[in-house]
Amino acid sequence: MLVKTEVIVLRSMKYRDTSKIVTFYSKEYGKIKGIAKGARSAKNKFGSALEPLSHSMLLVYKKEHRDLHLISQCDSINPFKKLTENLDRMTAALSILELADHVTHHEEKNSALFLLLVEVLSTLNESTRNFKAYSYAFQLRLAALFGYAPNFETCSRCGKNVPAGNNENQVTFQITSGAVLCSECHEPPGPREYGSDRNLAFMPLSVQGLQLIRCLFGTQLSSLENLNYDAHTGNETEELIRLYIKYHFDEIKSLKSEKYFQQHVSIF
Amino acid sequence: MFYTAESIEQLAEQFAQLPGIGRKTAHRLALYILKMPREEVETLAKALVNVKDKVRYCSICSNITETDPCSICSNTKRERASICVVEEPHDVIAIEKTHEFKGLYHVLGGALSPLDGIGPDDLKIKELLQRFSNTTIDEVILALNPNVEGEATTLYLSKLLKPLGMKVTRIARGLPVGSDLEFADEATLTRALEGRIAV
Repeated sequence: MLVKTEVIVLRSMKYRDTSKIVTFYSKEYGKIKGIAKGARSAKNKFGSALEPLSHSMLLVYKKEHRDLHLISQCDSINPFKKLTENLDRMTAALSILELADHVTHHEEKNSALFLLLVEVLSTLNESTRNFKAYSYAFQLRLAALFGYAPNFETCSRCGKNVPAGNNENQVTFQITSGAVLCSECHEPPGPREYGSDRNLAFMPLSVQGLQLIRCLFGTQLSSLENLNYDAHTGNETEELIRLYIKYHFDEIKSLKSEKYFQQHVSIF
Repeated sequence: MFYTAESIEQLAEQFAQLPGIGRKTAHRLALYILKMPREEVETLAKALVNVKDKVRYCSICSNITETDPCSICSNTKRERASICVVEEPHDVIAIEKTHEFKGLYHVLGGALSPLDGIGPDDLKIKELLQRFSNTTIDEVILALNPNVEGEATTLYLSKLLKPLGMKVTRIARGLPVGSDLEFADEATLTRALEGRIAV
């Protein structure tokens, strides 16, 4: 059956002399894979529409019970050209694709995830700074889409709004439950909590860190480039989100783009 | 249980390890070898062993060669002030076919790929930097594939090389000769317009 669907290109790999095997996240069918014959030759009909990070319209011969479909045509809707013009921006965008690829399964439809991918890539494409923030905002919103929405607003025990006072590190975030605890409800950490399994830890979070993480999770993506935070707050937030995502998504052992993030992308 | 002779099966198994060759093709090739004259089979076997024994990487440009340094690096007629950086040895062949470039090459052995975990340490980037300390280079031409990996490598290398004070250029991107403008995609056409030159 010949079907037409809007897609984000997640990754592509070389196949034989001139072909490509491309992984897409589609609006109607979730993650699908296709083979594009002749896509690497100079006169190919696909152009840049099959390059990772592209937002394209795909026409594919889709067969039941098959993992690999034959790509008939692919036209670019938005190539997100600026994403590939800056190394930091590109690394942030690729880390978003890698995570989306890891947490999704073959042909499991999730239109909300597709729309989130389009929104985050298009705002990142137009952004001028804070590229890393877009990746972390995507991670928190992705967790929410999969039913692991964190709560940064009220204490999970007493229900009060946090933070209640002015002390630094007064708020604690529990990775397992994805909720914050106010200073009154949280007891000092025991040896188990800061032991070998850090995933189970209650992580202390500064007031600035809490504000930043609320912005990443709640505010409009287009306003992320206006955030101003110091390196310590950035590091603290980054570590918390990394552990939270790793704990809730079993598929993620290690993200290859994470190494790049640490080496090449400047902090918030 | 073998359907043919054991040696045919073994040969087919070896052929099947090659990229793009499935089991049926491997069997067909093995049976074709059986029909070939003995001298031709010996020449083929010798050629295979020679490739492994004689071919190595050039200590200067990392291209594949039988003599170290390679024929391009040891050629005194080549311009030594410009280096063309490419991903793979077959890219050198493609550029040499144009007869337009008279300088030297540097083969990176791949491209940066954050999605595959290929970083700067996995490529011959340190070797490229070493070349600048030994000789004076005026221009570095980045001739990398126009895809995400090629773009990432181009951006990384330009960031690394520009502070060293040399001219860093990249090959133009645009329409292939003989194609029609109306069938070009937006990204290619945009880049072709950006890279327009005065005539």
